[in-house]
Amino acid sequence: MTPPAKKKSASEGSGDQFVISASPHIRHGDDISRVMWMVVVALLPALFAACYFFLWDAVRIVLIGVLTAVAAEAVIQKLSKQRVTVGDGSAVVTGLLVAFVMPSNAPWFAPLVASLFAIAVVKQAFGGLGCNIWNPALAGRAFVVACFGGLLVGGWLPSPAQPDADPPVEARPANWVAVPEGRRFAPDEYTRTDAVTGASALSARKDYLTAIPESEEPPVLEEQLGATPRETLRMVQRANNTGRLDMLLGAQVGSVGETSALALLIGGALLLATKVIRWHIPVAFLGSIALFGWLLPFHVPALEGARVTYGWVWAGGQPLFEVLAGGAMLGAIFMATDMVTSPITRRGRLIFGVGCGLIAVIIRRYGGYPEGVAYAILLMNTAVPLIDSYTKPRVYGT
Amino acid sequence: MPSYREEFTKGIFKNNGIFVLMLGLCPALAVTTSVTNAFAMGMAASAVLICSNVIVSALRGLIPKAVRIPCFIVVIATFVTMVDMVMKGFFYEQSRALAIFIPLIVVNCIILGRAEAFGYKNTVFRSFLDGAGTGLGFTLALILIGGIREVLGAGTLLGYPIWLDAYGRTVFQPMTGLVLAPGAFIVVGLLMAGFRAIGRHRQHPQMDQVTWE
Repeated sequence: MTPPAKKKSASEGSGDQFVISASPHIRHGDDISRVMWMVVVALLPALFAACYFFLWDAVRIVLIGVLTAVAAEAVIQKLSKQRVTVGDGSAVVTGLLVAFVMPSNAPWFAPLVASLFAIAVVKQAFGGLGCNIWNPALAGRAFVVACFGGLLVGGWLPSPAQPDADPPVEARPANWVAVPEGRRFAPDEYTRTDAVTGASALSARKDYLTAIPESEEPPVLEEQLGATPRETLRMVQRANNTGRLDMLLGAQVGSVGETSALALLIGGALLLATKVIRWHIPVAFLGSIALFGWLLPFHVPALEGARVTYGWVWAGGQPLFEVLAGGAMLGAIFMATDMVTSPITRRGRLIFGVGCGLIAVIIRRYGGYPEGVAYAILLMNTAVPLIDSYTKPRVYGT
Repeated sequence: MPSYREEFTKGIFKNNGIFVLMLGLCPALAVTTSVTNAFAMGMAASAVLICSNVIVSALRGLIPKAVRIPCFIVVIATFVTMVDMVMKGFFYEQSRALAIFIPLIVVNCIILGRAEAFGYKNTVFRSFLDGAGTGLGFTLALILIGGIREVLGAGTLLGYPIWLDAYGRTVFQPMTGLVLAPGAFIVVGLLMAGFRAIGRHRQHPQMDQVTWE
């Protein structure tokens, strides 16, 4: 980006010694396009992991998400007579992130609507790149969850290839497994095992922590009946016993791009090495998730027949589980660090990260949703102007 | 002095209560979950608007300037009470659906705004035309918002499911978020942006040539 003043003075032949321009005066080779494509490169490990774990579902969702985002950006910029800047990769990043926060069996219109909303409403309606208040991808996801909630955040979902009825024996594929009749399943729901996203570890835990025995389909596990809060919490921790190594590598249930913590960490390391992001937000975010995940007590129901009593149980939490489960890694490394929607100062970024982690743990523990990283980031995005105004550095000498 | 025709039509598009003046947004956000509700709300508010505009205009020589706002409120509240009773008597279901938002027409900014800005200063017939036009613009705006939210958010129109193919299967997944309060803000915001763009195009066609870098 050459400052216009420099160009002018050069053309007047006065040389480069006396350049008159407005601040900033120190310039760097980085530009939007380089930063955004670097983020895309950093997302590639997670993309490979997603394709490995979710096969064609991941490809399908990523393609829909990215193509919609790019097309929406181009069309809107064309219509509003702006310069079309889809080549700078920011729409690609948004599309990728939208795809990464979709469950693998999301219907085709979910990433489409999310990308469209992210670009058209959250980004362009607020003035385009650099002017949005919220992270577009997360706001897109929040909109889609508000719109098609049951299709995205339910426990077990039918896969897109799901037959309506039990297929005849001879037509069943080799790996066809009948899902047993039970609490989570509609009575005649069957599916192939390789095409289903089930309840994530976090939503399994939420099932233990919410007990409404009077409702039609009670989210109460039978083994919980008569158990004390402490016993229930032990059940929770048994349900969370997916191997930590599996969670690190990505062999856990979750959205397309969030399962493999290792792939996300590799991408994060790349971003740190190229100074696209700084360490403050991810470290503060993950640190506070671990800390508060360990610190905050559980609010656990105890069931005596139809009567529910709640008790506070402090059981030490599972800090590593909290960090590896759900969208914590993806959110902390790629979403909370969004340059547009995060604070400017180092102090502000630490406050922002700690706030994100605290809200995420509070939603996970006491809220209605099993996972709260997305809403935590959106809420803290809203608070960024406030944080910036409180952490404004003092002018030297005042 | 503008023509009678202009007095009537200015409230529909040019000075549309919701999209241009941005008044009366509470009912526009709260009751536009369906076309039926939007229409009923628009009709109720229009009736109050026309009557209060006419009465305020007729009494404009009697109302002292210092206490005009309380006087307007008394006039408006009278008609709101009448509309509320009529709706309870003849359209009970609709009255239940709109609930508190019928009495709240008393504080509708459009109605008080027209009484203050127009009825108090103009003749009875002009005030009637102004009230009718503004009321029609308000109703049309509510129906537009309600239509978008109902068709996309609930997948129905006037309560009947649309989006069905020949075999009666639903071909469109309703976006329930649009029926919720945030959806109302998003729809109204986008419509306002659209109205501003059209308004700019009409007033300053040369702006169309400007490219934003």
